[in-house]
Amino acid sequence: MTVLTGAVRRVLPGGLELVAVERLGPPLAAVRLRLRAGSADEASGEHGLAHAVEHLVVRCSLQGGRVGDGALATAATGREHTTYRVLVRSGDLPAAVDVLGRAFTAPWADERILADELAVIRQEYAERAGDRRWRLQESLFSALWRPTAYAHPTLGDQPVPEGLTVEDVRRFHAARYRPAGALLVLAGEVAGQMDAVAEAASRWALEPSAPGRRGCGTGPPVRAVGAEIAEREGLAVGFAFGEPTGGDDGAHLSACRALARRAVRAVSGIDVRLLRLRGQRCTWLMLSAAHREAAAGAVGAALRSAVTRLRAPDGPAWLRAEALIPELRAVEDVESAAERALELGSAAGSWPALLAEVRAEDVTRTIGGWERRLGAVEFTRE
Amino acid sequence: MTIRQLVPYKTVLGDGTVVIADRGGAQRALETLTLALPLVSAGRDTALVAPLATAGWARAVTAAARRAGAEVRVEPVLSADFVGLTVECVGGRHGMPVRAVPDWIAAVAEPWRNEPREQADEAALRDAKRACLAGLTTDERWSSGVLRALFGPHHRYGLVHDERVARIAGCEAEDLRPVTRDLLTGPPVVALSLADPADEEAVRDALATAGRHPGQPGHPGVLPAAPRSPLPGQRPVALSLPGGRDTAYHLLGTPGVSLGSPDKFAVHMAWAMLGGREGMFGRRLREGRALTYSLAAFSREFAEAGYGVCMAVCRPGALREVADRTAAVLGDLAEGRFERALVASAKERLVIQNHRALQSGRDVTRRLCGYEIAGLPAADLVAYADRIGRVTGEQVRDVARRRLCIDEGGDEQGERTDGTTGVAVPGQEHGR
Repeated sequence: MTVLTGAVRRVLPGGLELVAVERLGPPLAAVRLRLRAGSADEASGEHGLAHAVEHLVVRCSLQGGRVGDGALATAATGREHTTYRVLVRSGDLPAAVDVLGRAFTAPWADERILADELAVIRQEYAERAGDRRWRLQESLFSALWRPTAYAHPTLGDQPVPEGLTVEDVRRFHAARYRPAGALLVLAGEVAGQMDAVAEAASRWALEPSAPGRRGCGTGPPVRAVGAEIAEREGLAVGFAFGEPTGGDDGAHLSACRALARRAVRAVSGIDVRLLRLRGQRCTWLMLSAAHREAAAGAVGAALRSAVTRLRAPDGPAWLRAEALIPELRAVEDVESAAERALELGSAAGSWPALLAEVRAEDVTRTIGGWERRLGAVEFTRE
Repeated sequence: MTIRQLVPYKTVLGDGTVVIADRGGAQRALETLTLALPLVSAGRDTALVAPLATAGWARAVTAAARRAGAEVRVEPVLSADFVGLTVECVGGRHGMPVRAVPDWIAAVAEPWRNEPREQADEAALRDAKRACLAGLTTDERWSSGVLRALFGPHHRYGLVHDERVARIAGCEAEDLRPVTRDLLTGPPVVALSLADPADEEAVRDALATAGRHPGQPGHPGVLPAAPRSPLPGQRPVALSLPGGRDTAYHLLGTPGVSLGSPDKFAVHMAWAMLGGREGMFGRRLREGRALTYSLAAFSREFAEAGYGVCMAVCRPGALREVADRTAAVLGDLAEGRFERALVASAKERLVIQNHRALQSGRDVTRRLCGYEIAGLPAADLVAYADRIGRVTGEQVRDVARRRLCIDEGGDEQGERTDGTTGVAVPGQEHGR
């Protein structure tokens, strides 16, 4: 298996971390710039600001985010980070890095541009709010992280932040869009381009570290919760729990969790989802059911049946066919390689080997842990 | 040089079975084989039920492989033009058990032959139905009305999700046997992405030895057969659908071109210029007006025909304005009223998209099968970037004029549904 041929990591003078994953395949390069600026950094009364800043950075700082003739950068705001992404031909890697690096330049928005962009965000909010699954997911997170700064949706809890001004945007950008603590990931045929990229990235503003997160202390609280919303027939029900990552959140456990997710999906179709936050990992899933108890029963049955399948005499072979093979297929995708590096850093370069080392009993133990934590949850209803 | 290039190599066996191997460059993480059976000359019911047949085949081939000690993953393949299976395994010491390939094809011919008949049929059918219905995509249910309007109720391109689900749910074991016979009438296509060229030879040898009609050298392989159902005359169509809370869909469908059409590259360019965040639809619908956030615009090409579609999510009260602006954008394209920079941008995005779509062995082998079944040389797949590079703005304007514009003959319909039925919008994150 030689699709990924390794990864390197450097920390540049301004504090920006650079991870490059060398990958064989079509002549493409995926670039990610992840900044420590998320909705958990917003003060009360300014919920949705991080997302509005992200829109304005794409529009103004990145000037639409076009690389060379064609590829367009995209962006997404999370609770702890905002990530800018682009996929380009290998030869355009330096230009892509240059475009994403403009995120450190303050957006020059005036009131008219701000009003334009807020109108777009209002429409985006209306579409999300019309999506039951999005509402359920946000109900789960709200229940899980109340009363911290992680509890409100990344889009904010109303269509746009009330009274938002250009000055608010500039203030948030100046405080949060810093190279210190940011992560730049390159994936593709990148080995020969590391020095040039490192030199370009070193020219980005050399500012002191961003201040600590507002109102979230050492991270979100740890608990297990459930939430439900009515559907036309029955309910959509979600279950979630958080757990401290401590010092044990290594690459091997990530590989175990990746294969455990595949195993549960193979036996039940249920997608167990994971979100890694500072000091905590959130695990959640959602499904449709007639009522809350039926949903809990279905989740328990799915997890137990995955464990039973893994413990069967042909369990290891089944794991390789149903979990390892699809996970290895994803390795071939250059954007998946970049996303993996956001999570694992340079260990992403060894991902195929890490997966191959996972045993059926490791996966059984992971799923058993999920079953214990999801067994008793406190419910909330929209 | 570490970049992997696609290097297809085709042979036709005596019985017409086509074997195409990707001999490009470095090893992949997985070895892959895709077996494809054309739907071109199949009946409508066969096309409707084919996903269930393939779920049964996947089960049968998995069982056959496991009996032989092979650790393979078998997934059904379903496209508008062919059905079949993709078999994947981890390369290296436990690579693809190539000598078993003919047995797998035999297992397709009689999916449940190795178990006691009566109860095994029932249980196997139940399992296959569950797997099949879970795997049927609902991501593009919103386009069902467009497909039905463009391709009519009789052609397989006009088959829609709800109709297929209902037919499969009511399907009996005896319904599947004629379907399998219908699909196995013509020779299959086998596409390979293997680490060792010697294994390609072994697959060819094994298939040739097991050939159903050996001794027909010079057989041309799969040829595009005469379609069993003719395509109706196509006209552009505009529809609206209720979306989630306080949202609606505006859908615009246009006739497209077949996979082998010389217009295909200009059509791709046209839709790439129309779609995307900075495309013509996005500018007209978002900037200054914020009429929509989720917007999708693309074309699809099949063996016999194709289509283009634009989907915009908006407030119900904005539907009229979105429809007018969308139609006006098509008019602009047909009159050549677009920035030249859009042409270069669309080319670049299409080339990137093409590379992106051919990263895994599964992607490559399925695409090779699709080209073969459409009667196209695999070399066309390799030449995509070059052909896109040669399209001019004038060619885009001309193709828009001929194929995309809504004129007075276009249908304008309102289609009502009773609430939000899980219609899925193409995924977007909370961002731009």
